[in-house]
Amino acid sequence: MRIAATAERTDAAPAPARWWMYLRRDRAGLVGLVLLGGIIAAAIASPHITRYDPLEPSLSEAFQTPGGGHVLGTDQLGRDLFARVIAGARASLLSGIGALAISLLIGVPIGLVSGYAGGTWDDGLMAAVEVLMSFPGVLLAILAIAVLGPGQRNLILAVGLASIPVFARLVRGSTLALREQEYVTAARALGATPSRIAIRHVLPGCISPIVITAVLRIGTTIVTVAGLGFLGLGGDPALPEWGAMLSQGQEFLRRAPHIALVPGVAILLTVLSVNLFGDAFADALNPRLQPNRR
Amino acid sequence: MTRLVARRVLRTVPVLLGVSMLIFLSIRLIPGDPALILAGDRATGEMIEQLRTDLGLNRPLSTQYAIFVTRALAGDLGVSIRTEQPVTMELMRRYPLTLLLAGAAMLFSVAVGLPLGILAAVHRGRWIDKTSVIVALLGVSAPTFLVGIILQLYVAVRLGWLPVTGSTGWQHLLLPAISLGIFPVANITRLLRGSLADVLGEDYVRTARAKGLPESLVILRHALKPALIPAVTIVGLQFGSMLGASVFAEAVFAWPGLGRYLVQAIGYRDYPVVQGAVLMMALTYVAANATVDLAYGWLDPRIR
Repeated sequence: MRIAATAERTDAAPAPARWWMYLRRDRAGLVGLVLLGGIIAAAIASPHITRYDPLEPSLSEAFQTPGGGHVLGTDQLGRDLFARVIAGARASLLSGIGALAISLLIGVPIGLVSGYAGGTWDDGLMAAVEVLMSFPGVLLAILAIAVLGPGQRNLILAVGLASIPVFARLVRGSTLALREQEYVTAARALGATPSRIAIRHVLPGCISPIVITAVLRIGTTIVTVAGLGFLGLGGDPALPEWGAMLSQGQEFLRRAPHIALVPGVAILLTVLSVNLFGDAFADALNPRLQPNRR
Repeated sequence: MTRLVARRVLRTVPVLLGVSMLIFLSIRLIPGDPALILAGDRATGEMIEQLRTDLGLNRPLSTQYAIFVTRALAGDLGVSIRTEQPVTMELMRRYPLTLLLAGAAMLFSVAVGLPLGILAAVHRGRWIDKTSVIVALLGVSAPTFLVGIILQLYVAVRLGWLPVTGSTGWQHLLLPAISLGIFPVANITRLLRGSLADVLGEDYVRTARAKGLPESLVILRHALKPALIPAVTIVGLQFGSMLGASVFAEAVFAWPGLGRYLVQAIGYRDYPVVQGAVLMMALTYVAANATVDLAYGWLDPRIR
């Protein structure tokens, strides 16, 4: 009986409130959410949390172990690792979101046109997408960097390009299903233009899978950005970027392993929290798992 | 089956054309004179002119592309700017090392993921199941380069059990292969745990149990084969994506494979090498994915 009552109540609630109701019951998802919230807060407040400058070298203080005057120690140039790692949180999250935005901005329209227009448009666009999918994502990003040149902005663009196929195919699939719906036929009968139908009537129906996939992709995106930074393709190595920090720390594994471990743990915690939250979020939005999924 | 193979192989032809076109165009997209870009800064005017004629750089793009494909098919990918050696030769020296690394990583991931997935499905809710869930979660969250550095720190530097970098013996292969294999271990475990648990609930499994077969036989002989299908697909697809991730494992352990060579080539702006290495990896990726499709058809007669 209680189950039925819950179902009734949640159906009446607006979407975000309903998601929260499911999310709240998922302990792993909550842990992820709290962790992620902390990381985002640190990223936003990063310039104000510590008095140390993430870029200012201080050779007399180099290689300090965590715990002393510097909470997480200092690196080979005496830069404060706590200041660098939270500045890096900002860079990582922004690059991850930026890359995701690029793949959405290009991938979603491709999928929409491909699925709704069909015919030659569909064939051509999907052939292009299939070519992009013939590369491992990382390799595509590396090729893009080779063309664009290293640098933070190019890196974001490159990683974004690599995820375009994911969204293009997703949106195409949803569009194909939606375009046969009666309300779309009705809109067509009323004389709405194809672009209006695609944007006003079909696209809203694709939002939920797009959001779920985007959230689940954040982890991959952040890892790819950090990975390319690790390979030295992110541009200025002095900037506090987790991948580049890790790569510099690798040189001092014997003498001062914390220089590598601090950014390493930061990457792991971020991706872990994003994945935990992402899985829970996808479950909460999945109508097949509702209302009582456990 | 022959028809299936033929159809799948035919389907790769347009894809390969597209891949080669993208790689061909990417070099032309770099601002500047392609002859200068492909010949390098140190090239003499004469060498640049020679290259211009060879690659047809004064002729229309379509002709240039035709020349590029014809030459690539003949195994001619140009000359490395840095070493002045034929790119194909340089690639062939490194390619087997990357395949070896990816193969070893795959072996590791199957050797760990398979038993872990089976044990987790059979002992649902027990400690081994919970361990597998945590392993899988950490495995998908920890990037290859991070796993590599942590292994390097604890196993090689601290304990001294294995060498830190290098490529002269099997000991050098272990750590890079493990760091590359962690992600697929996580995927295989997660997938097999799910699919085997589903199969174990089927009627014919109950029948097998009812006729008194020992549980190990029920699992190994009856339940495992259908449960393996999704796992096999994932293993195959993982092999492809491992080619991408091998770049990171090779960077951490200075493993002299294709990925490390590619990254170095970007640093030296050695574009003929970049072009060749990317082409090589993409070809392998396409071939690996086609093989997966075929293996899938062989395992599951329904989709033939």
